[in-house]
Amino acid sequence: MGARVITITSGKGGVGKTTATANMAVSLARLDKKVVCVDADIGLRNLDVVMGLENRIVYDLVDVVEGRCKLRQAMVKDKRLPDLYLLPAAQTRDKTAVSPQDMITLANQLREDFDVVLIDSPAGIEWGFRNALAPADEVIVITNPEVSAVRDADRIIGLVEAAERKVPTSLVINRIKPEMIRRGDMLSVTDVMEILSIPLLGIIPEDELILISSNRGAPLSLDNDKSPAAEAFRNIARRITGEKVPLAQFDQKAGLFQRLTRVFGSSDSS
Amino acid sequence: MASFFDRIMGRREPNSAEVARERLKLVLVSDRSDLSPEKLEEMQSEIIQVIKRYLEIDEAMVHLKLERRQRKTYMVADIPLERHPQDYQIGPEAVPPESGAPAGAEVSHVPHVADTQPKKPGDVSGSTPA
Repeated sequence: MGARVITITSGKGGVGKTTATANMAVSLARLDKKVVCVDADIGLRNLDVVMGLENRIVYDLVDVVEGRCKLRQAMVKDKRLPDLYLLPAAQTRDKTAVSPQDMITLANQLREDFDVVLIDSPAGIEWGFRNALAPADEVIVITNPEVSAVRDADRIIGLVEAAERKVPTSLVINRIKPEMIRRGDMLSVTDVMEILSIPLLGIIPEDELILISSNRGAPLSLDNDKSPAAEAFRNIARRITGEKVPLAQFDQKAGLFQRLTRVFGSSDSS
Repeated sequence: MASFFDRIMGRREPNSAEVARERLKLVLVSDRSDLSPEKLEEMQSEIIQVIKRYLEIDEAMVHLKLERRQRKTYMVADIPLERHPQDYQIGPEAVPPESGAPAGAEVSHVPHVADTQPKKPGDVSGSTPA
């Protein structure tokens, strides 16, 4: 089949990488794509609990790499959808159990059977991130509209750009609060894009349902079709499949009055 | 809270998002350059020494900074000259053509600084400070 291998990364932890991976995977599977998500965070696996598949794990990624089982045996099928699988990380090992070359070999095996392989990268810029990056055809950088997350995203983008193999990157801005942007108390989508200067794949509004669905182990995007966050994930999935989907308008910085004062008040365009 | 007139005139305290944006821009420049402020200063004084061999410059006003545009970092320099470039003649006995005064009498040329600035090829940034 020749899947696309997409690595999801962020630099900083806690920006919603794992939740985003789960919801993108579910959304892609609901668009009739055959999807596997790979948890590359060895020693700190989490994608299984967010997806609600933690009780069905028999083998893991390290078992596959070290030859204790076949790849098929380690993959957990999500029974709620026809074509969604999880390859869980090992919980009792550390990141050095897997090498970048192992990840390339593994991804090449998965390519044959799937449309999309999503790799959930661990936070940081060390070994685990290198492993997750090694097989990637594309990289999705997730960030929040916060100084720390944007700074780390910039670092990650720099590292991806500096790699020998050129891999296209795109950006997802997670946990946007439109009301705070309107008040001028949160970096807007435009601000973050201007600073990071890579193509925007999508924006996700803050949504309480995300936490509730993680509590239950049932990713938001499985149902909840009216939730703005679920819609945002669905739009991202559609863009990944090549569809042109306009961005939602979470980005109004200011009312008309403030915009007028901005136009008249300052001549320097920064 | 800015007053109505302040807002009309565009005079207001920057909001926290604007502060965040400016702080980020600055920190990312140094994140990406591996150049400490001390090294930058050292380089600036060396550059000044080189330029002074060819041109008279207003040393106190020289300003060197790193600036990000898109995903590239640029070094931008403001180097005010003490006279019009065309006033210079090559050679040790160089004399400004219009006055015949010795080369040391640059005080009378100070007003030219403002005129020459936009024409200088090195002046990419205009004169907006960061």
